[in-house]
Amino acid sequence: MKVLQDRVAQIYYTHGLFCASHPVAILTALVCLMLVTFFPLIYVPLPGTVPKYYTTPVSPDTQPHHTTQGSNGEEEGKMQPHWFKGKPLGYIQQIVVKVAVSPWKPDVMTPSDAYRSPLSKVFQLIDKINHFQYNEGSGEDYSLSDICFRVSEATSARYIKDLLPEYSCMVLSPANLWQSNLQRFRDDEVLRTIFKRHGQALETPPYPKDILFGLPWTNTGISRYFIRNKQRTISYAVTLVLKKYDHKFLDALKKKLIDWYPETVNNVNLTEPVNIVHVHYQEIKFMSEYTYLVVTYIVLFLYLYFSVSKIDMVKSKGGLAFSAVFTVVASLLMSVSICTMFGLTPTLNGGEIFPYLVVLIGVENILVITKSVVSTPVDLEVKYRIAQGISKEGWYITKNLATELMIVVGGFVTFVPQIQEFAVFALVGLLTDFFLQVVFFVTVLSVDIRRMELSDLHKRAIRRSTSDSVLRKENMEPLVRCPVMTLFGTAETGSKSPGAPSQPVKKDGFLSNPQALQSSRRLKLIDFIGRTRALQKCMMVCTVIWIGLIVYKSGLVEHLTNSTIAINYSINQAKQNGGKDEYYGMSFPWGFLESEEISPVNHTEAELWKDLNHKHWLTMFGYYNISLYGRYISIIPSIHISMLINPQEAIQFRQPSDGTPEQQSNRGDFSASNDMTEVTVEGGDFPPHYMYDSEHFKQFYPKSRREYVITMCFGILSVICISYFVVALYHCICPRNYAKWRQKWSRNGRKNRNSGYIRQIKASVPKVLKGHAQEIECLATDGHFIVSTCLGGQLRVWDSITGECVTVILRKSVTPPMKRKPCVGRNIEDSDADLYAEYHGDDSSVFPKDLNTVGPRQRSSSKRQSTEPQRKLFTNQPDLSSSVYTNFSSLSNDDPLSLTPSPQPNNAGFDFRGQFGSIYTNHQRFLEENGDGNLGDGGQTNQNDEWRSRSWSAGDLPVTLQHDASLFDTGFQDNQAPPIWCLSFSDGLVAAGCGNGRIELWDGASGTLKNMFGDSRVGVTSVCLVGNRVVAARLNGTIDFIDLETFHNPAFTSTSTPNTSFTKGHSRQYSQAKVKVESLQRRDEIIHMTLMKSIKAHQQQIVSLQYAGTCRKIISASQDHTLKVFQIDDAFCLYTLHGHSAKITVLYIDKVPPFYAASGDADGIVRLWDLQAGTCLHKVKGHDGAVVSINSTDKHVISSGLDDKLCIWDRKKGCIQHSLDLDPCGNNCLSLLSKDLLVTGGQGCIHLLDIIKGQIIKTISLGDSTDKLAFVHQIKVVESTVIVCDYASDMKVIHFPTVLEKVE
Amino acid sequence: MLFLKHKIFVMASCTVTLRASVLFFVGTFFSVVLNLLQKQRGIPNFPMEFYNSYLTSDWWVHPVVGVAAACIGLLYPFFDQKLGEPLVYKREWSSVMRCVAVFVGINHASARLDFADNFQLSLTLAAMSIGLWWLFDRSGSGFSLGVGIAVLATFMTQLVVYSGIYRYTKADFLFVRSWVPCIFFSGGVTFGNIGRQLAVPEENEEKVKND
Repeated sequence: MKVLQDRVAQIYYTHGLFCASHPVAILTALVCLMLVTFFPLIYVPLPGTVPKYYTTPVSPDTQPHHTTQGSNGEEEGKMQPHWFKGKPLGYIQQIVVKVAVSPWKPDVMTPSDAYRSPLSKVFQLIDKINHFQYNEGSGEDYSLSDICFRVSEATSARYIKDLLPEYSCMVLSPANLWQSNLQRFRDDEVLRTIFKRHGQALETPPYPKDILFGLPWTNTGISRYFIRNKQRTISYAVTLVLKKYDHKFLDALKKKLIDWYPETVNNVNLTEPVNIVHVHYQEIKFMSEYTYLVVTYIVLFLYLYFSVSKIDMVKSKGGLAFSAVFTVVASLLMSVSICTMFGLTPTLNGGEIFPYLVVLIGVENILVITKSVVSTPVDLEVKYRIAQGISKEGWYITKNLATELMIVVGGFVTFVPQIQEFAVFALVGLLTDFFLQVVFFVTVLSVDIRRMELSDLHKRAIRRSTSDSVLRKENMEPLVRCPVMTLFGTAETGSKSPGAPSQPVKKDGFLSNPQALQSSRRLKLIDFIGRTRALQKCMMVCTVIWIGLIVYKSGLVEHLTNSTIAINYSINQAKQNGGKDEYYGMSFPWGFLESEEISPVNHTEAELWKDLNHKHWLTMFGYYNISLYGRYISIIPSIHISMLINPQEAIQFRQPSDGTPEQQSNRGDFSASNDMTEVTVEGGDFPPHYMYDSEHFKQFYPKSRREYVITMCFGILSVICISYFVVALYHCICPRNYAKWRQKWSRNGRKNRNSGYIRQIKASVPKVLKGHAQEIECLATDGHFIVSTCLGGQLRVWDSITGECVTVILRKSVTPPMKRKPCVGRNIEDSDADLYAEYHGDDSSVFPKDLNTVGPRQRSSSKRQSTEPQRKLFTNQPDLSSSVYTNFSSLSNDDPLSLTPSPQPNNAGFDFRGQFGSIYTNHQRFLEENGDGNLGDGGQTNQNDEWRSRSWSAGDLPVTLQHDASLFDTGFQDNQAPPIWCLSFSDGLVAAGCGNGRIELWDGASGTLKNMFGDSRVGVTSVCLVGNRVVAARLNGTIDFIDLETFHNPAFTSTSTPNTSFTKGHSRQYSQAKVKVESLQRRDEIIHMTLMKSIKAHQQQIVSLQYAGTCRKIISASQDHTLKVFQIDDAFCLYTLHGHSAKITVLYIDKVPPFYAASGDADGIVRLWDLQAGTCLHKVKGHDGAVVSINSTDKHVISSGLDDKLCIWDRKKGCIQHSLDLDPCGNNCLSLLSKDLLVTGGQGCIHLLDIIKGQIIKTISLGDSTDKLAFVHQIKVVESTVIVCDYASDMKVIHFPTVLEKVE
Repeated sequence: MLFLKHKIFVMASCTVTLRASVLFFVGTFFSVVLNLLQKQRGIPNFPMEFYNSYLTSDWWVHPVVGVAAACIGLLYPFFDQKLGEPLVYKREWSSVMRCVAVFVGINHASARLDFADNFQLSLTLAAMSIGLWWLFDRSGSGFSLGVGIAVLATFMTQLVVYSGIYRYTKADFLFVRSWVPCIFFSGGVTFGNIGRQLAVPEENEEKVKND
């Protein structure tokens, strides 16, 4: 069993591969096959028109209707139809007459001779029938009028009132056309009368002429135009409707007719039919009949709807639903047509049983296939998905099919013919449905899945569970390799996008939330209706159906179907009409002629009436407003008569307008040529000819071969032209890009007002910020002001709008950690101002007793450290921190809070001894214990190296012992301030990290040093000023978290003159009046820096330290290949991001949520990290060298590397979008102007790039002369359209406005 | 259609009464429609009188059938709960629709087909009904309930005819008696399915509560 199942699965697998590999070919083949199989459906009578037949044998003596009354016949045990109750409405006796003119002499005959005299015979016949009297022997004579069916007025057919009998027997024949008046017939234009339209706008068959002639029109032999001059057999029937069935009378009549027309004997040797056929027209009660039909269809629709709504995870649900329904419907139609081909005539009403068949066959298989295919792993190729899906369900499908077949075969057991017929349909339908499902639907499904983009699959990938992991390992070999595929090679390559992340993506990574994709279902429904234009398509369908109904009503369909049946009959006629000297150049392939002699009036068909239109009897009785619905009529076997007419007789009926034979033969050459293949004009296969006048039309007939050929050519040409125009019109009206096509019209014509302007980005002439003497080292900006440092240690603050330098800080003169007493001599290095300040006293004394930023702090004492150790101040001072009173706001200026223990004996001031005595005694003791010999009196003369405050603050009390010498000595050798390695600027406060490990806090407005922090000698590579924290990263990998405490000093805010006069040694050179004091916040506060925590974060140098926007995190990237995320508040390391395999060179963090970090390393690999989850989202290798700088927007990541390339990545997909080559060695700075614009520096110029297009829009050259082109190392964005860049020792501020330019 | 489905679910999941009312309306509707089918047999010639008789004579049958349908639809899930066997076979709306369509088909067959004798009719119908049960509801409780309903309905029909409320001619009555059990059996199974499907959201809620 298992082996069988595996085999079946393998077969299905092969089949699935095959189907999915050649979808187009298979679909085309299937469509052709379906069209071919639907062909026999044309012959199937449309539902609702077929009457019911029931035959009973003719018994000469008894009445032919059954004896039992009013029951369903169950007591009889016979199966009689339930309508066969009571007497029939009437008995119909047809007398079929076949007449021909024989022998035929072409030279003396005209075409019209062929039909006139045969038709004229009907009058005679009618007379004879009407006057026939039968004598039963004992009774009296009775004639036809005694037993005939009497009718009154033809109320329902007023337009042919004069044709139909009134208040007499119902006898219909062609003679009615001339009111049974032979004279009228003689004078009349016969054909015109026959084909005359009687004033009805839309006539549906059967036409009056059909009713009157009583035979299928093709059998009558009469056509609209008799062109050819040959013998014709004219048939017609005289229809008698009788009230009762008198067998003897009819026998006698028959004998009499045979006597009158002796040719009948020779020509009629049909087997006597022994059956009377009863015809029943089923009553259509609209309410009852159609209500439940409607209900059935509604239930069917609901079933289909509910089934189809289970289809999921496909590109186009509607398309698959439609194809599912189409599969079932097509399979049923195919089954009906196949059954018809094999001769099973459907007696069941197709419309009624159709829903049941659909429900029986069901769409479950389709759903099962769909479900199993979409649950295959997504990353497989489409055809393998299909194949796997099918093979999984193959066994189930086959089992299902077998079960259903069993059930249907069971239906045969009940020997009820309708159920058996139903079962046959169901059986064939099941098989065809299975075939269509497995071939057609699978192909459609493969087409649909192929259309799904990978992004759709990604969206849906999350919803799937781990079921796919099980299937991943399954590998099946197809049964046979498709030979076509090997011929053409593999057509399908993998559908993976390049650069897809190879790492597993976490669930709630960057992929958008699948729940967010589901908008409300109502919106989705409306959106679906709008998108697929469901309403419009619905209307189109309704219109098409309406037109179809009209066509049907107009009888065109009937006409066509009749004409096709007519083909068969014209063959028979050809056989019958075979004369000795005539050729029938029929082009029918099966129209071979028989050479034997058949009399033209031979009757071959016994019951011609069976081919009549189904509505024939209905219409006939309907003329008299007699409804046959619910009733039945009995058709008695016809009487056949043949007549042959003498040519002389025929000539008598000739009319003068017919012309002579010579005239006739001049008109056409048809009869002369023997080898022409013409389409005969027999058979009634003209378009509705009742619209045209006969004489008129004859002129247009091609009369010669040449004309015929020319006509055909014209016809073909016109067909081509018309179709071309129709196609062109179609393309005009509904092309895909209709909008574009229309726009092409109007573009040349009128001027469009709106598109007259385009946006352009212009670059302003760079504003030069001159001032630094040496090359610019660091650059920082806070949005308006720019802070720059140069190699010489100068720090300048600029205003970006005016280009003025707001503050200049010469650091070497500004940071004097040493406090010295005014000494006797003067030092050369001392600036005048310093000496002055020194000299002049208490206010500017060394000690910060008024706690302002002024004072001897600003004095340069750079040279003092090494040479004058004895002049150190504050050595060995007691620790008075316990007595520190930090509420400065309550102090006044002249409150001498100097707690220096150096009393100046001259000052009879406040005696602090009481307050501080104890501390000092302790201190003395401490000093003695420690053996420090440097206790001086005031201590202020001694300045120890230790007296450097660890965090030297401009408001600090200089009593802390632990003063770091390194703070003051190493940087100040050779009058040099320590080199600034990094800058951070925020709120007017500049934090500068120096190479000697010092962190300096400067006030940008006043240029004063607020604080200095230098407890470690390790150089600061990065510094971040975040609110009240300073985070500094050092060379050795430590991160210092420093807390800033600001103490407000309102007492000092009143002085309006800025203290900058003290700050600068050569302050007169600067126009201070231009300083906008109000814009840059003056920091008059005292700032304390205390080290909160120092963490040894990395083992190696920290390359970059950045803080992440509003979430208080600091990221450090180090050369040890890791990134660490710290919390600013408590210096807690959140996590470490591993992933890089080379030292990280750059780091960039998003300024807006979601906070992603992009880092580049020395191998050229860029990684994108999600900081919330702590995972790496993308890893892309884009550079051959190290990544030199990196930046990011919300959609793109831009990186530049040592390989002089600039790469633009797509952030979501993780793939490179653009890659540009830039100037070598000039692109280590990237700045984003906006989401789309990037500014990067080159050699002596700046490039403006469009990120989305990946092109350089503009290049702004900065250099004045061409020979000295410096590289732009740093670019910072000041405002959204303004950038500042460094260029040698200057800075340039460039503005990029966007203007609307008029189009030329 | 989405609204309708949603509404049906919302309604169904609310209370027993809502479910019962839905079943009642559906039952009445089907009774009306299927009666049309049956009526066709008897009166071939007079459409107008057909309508008249239809409207006046036996209108009370349909609400009764509706009530019966409501009861059946509530009984089935009730029994499911009691017996503890959850029916997991084909619990979806599409199969319920299919069941309804097959039920209508059975009715149609019984109305339209001309059988040789009543016995054959009964046999065929019985086979179809069993097939319906097998296809859409393979539970023993369903079968027994259906049989019970059929027996009950036949009994009631006998009662009604004997007590003279509803008149049939003898032949007609025999004919009617041959199809009543089968039709009611399949009808019971069908409405039981519908009722079960309507009760699904409630069951899910119960399960969630119990978990």
